[in-house]
Amino acid sequence: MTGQYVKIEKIAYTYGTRSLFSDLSFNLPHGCVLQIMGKNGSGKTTLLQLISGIKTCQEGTIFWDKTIHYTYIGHKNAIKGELSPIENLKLYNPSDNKCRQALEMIGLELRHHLRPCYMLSAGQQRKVALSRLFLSDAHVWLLDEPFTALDENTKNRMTLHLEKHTSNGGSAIIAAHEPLKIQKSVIKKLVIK
Amino acid sequence: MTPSRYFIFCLRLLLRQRREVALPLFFFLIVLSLFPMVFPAKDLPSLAPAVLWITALLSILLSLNNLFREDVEDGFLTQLLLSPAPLSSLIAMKLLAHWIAYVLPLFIALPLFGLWYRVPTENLLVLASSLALGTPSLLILGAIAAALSAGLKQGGILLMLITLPLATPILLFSLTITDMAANGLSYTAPAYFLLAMAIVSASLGPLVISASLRISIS
Repeated sequence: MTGQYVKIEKIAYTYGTRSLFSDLSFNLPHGCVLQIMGKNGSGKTTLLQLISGIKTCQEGTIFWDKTIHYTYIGHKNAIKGELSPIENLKLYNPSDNKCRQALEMIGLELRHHLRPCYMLSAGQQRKVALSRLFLSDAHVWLLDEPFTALDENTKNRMTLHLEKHTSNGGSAIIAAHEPLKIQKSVIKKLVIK
Repeated sequence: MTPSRYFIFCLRLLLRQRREVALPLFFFLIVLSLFPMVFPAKDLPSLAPAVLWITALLSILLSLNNLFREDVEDGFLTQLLLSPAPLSSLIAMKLLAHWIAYVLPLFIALPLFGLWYRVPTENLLVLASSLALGTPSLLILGAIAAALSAGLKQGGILLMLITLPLATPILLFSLTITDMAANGLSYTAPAYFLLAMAIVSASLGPLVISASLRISIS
């Protein structure tokens, strides 16, 4: 596993009689962004869920470097609408300051920090979900359609954070339709047909 | 995410969802208030334990309908699954918060129940003890069914179908306690049985629920 965070060997997944992918192998080196691409329903989310361990592989093996940890942000935000962004984030870090900083890093204005999340727009809710990345010191970010509902400004901000993360030796696996606009990081692309 | 932090998170969330939390309590009070209207007053004290227990059972089941479904729908369950803390410990905290929010208020309504059903205070205390011993197992049984049906659209009915037959022993032993107490007999044996059930459910229940949720989500 030297130089690799994850090594995936010959995995396969079938929904009913439909095979999403089979004999799929790749690895995730340090400091690299792996973009999973494919049309709707091609199995991008399933692949991310298999890598994260939410789902179990039907065939093949996924080897994780046991010394590291990862964060997963799915296409659902996993936030509670009745609670404010700060209250949602305090589950992951009890420090008010750290939570505020995380929200500021993703660009959620201070005035929204204490409002119930159901009062925020879809894009603002997505920002709350993504700000969880900055509360963990995860080596690998697993992101499912992270840019959905985000404005250009936040997309650029998020791209800069991704570049910074990889320059520090971290890696990311991202399922996204659009090609990523990352310039300073190594990008590997995996297209699921 | 730690179990203690998740417990506070759950309590805070339930406090914000107070309208939803109040509904099973209102259901409990409304159903209890129906019996004194249709049964003669002299029959009420003898009916009281059964009515209280069945109403409490239904009100707890009502509260369990959304126990995990919301977490599945908003993606929160994946965060629980991937948390470094064991899923079973997080589930135990969620159930504890749920018991505090939904079951504890039933005890507060007991004096009113005693008044409606003309239950003497000493019998009311026995009823409260039987509820305290029986409701944890009941909640955990229901939570297992809620976890199994979390990913289903018509999960509410399945929840009832799974839980109601399994809840029968708890109901019988609880009613035995009140029956024996009313006849001046020692009720330690059924009380110990309920306590044992509560301990076994609390120890194994979160593990079973964790496994059920993993099956539901995959």
